[in-house]
Amino acid sequence: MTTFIQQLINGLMLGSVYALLALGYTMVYGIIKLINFAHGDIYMLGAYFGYFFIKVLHLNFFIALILAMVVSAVIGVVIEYIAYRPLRHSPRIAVLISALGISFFLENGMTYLYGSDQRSFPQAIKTVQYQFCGIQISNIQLIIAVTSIVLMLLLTYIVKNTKMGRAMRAVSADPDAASLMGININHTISFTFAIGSALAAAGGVLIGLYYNSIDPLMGMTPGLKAFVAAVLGGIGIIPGAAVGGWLIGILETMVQATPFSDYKDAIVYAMLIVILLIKPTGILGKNKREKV
Amino acid sequence: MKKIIIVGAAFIVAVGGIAAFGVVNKSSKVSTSNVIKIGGVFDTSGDASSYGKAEQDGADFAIKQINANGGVKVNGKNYKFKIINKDAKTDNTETASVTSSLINNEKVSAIVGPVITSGVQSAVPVATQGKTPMISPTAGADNITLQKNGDVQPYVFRAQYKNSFMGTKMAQFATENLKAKNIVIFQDNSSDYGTGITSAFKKAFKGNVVDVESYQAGTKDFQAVLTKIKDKKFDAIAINGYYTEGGAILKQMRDMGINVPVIGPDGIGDPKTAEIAGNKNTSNVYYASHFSVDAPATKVSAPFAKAYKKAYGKYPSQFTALAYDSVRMIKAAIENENSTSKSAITKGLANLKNFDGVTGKMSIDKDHNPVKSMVMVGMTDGKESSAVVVK
Repeated sequence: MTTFIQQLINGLMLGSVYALLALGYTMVYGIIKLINFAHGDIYMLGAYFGYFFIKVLHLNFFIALILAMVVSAVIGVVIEYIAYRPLRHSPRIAVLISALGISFFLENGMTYLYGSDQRSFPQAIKTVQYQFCGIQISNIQLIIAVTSIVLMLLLTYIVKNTKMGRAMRAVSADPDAASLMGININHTISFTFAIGSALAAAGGVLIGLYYNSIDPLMGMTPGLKAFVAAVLGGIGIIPGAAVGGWLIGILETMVQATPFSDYKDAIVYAMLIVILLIKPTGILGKNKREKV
Repeated sequence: MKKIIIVGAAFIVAVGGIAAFGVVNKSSKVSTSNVIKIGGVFDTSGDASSYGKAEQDGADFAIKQINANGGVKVNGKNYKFKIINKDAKTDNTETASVTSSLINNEKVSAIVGPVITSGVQSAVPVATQGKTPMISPTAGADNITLQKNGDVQPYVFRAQYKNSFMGTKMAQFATENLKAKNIVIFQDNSSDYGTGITSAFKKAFKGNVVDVESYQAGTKDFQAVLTKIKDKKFDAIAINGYYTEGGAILKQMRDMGINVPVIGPDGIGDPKTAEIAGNKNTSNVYYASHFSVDAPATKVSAPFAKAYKKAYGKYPSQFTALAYDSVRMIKAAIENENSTSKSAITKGLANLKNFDGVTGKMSIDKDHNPVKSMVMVGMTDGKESSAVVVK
């Protein structure tokens, strides 16, 4: 039983990071119907910024985390401005290809600049293990869990209770009507990218601290899994992304605890196929008709 | 338009031909009767470049040393070695093409290289066709010296022991030195490397293999698997893979409070292991090495390390040592056979017995693999702290 609870905790940890990433996918999809495949690479950039702020500028971990989020938010906005905005009225496939292009650009650009080698992330916080009733949890795991939950609550507050959040919901529902009501669509979309990128960067920095290694391709697999998580929870739905992230994390961990551990990635992707066949709108999704 | 292209192509071919002819001419002028030419196929660019550069240094150093000490004696006559190095760029096509150029244009008597398994595989047909002996310092896969039907490749040799030999010796170390009875194995199953070592380890290990956990290269999270094995009874862990995942496993298991000794193959033997795992987690860790300054395998090991340090300002790595041995094995083959012909070198290499290499006293077996002792290097606080020769 304790092993089961321990595995559940391991799964929730992993899931929190997927959830942070999945939120970005879901918000961007919700607002401009784009699957931003460069999102996983923002997570990688975030980890590298965290590395830079801690290792080179010797900043405190939490200050480095916040700075990495801010810088990545700016990069997210710039990417949207350069690569997606000019294509906003093109067919959706064009934007999707542009997103893939940005993804390759970031991965190979970082490989070119800093090499493809793994780097060890500075251990800014010393690992301490806590034990209770046979269950073990480290301070870093707690930091990951608490940071993700705080960020998710903050996001919920922004979306529900602020003017910008209301604008986001309006643009997501009907961009044309929203703009007639005096909402600046470009600002709203930029804001969405900024928040999504900041959350991804936070995930990257936390994972860097947790696993102590970062590399330019570290965003690929988590990016894909977060995308699966977003679809699983219902793409475009914010609480859905969190639920999906945690579910994928737990699923992956549980599979690893069985003799099928070699197939953990395959099972996660199989899950995506099953969900798309049974309930294409995701767990929290409602069936609604597309406007014609 | 078509005409222009044809004329252009003809022009390029002509210029290329003249250039190639020029090169051949120039090199054939240099060759005199008392020089033995050796080809060096090292990847000094591309993915394997860190190995390739270390090996090129080792081979160059061996040649310099041999020539300074009077060269090679054959029938009372002194010959000098001359090495012609070519960059194979960690690319299979390039490896085959530079090997062919060394054999057919430069007329070398023997080849040192290529560096990695896939490189050797692409150079084998060329060496066989040119009837030129080839000795790879560092290719580890079991099958590179064998043909499809299990017969030995007549012209292919290596200086490094094969992967399955490493697994066998690791098992011996676990039993004899660590006194391990129950062991958990982690294996990288995305290449033959991890699985090959694991199967040899399992065959040779006297105790009980409690569990084998496979992972893919690039995996970062081992929490779930470690939680699963944590309550099992084991007194050592073997990580049969490379340093990236090895470092991650080491960090996560030590953080979790699993403090049993860890053993690994040469893929773990990289400073990056301790960097990723953290120095305080890298204690009680042992990895297979081909050469250690701290545990001289034979009487020639220490003088070599010293002389190399004097010349290059640093101690030789295991790759440097293996390339150094490869050149000296060719010298020994020539002297034993008293002939400089390619067939004599091939025969000499195949019959090499009790050769004092810096990486161990070795004899070449019927499959052209060296049989020698292995060094297990121990780490404490991220630093090499011990070295044991496993006989």
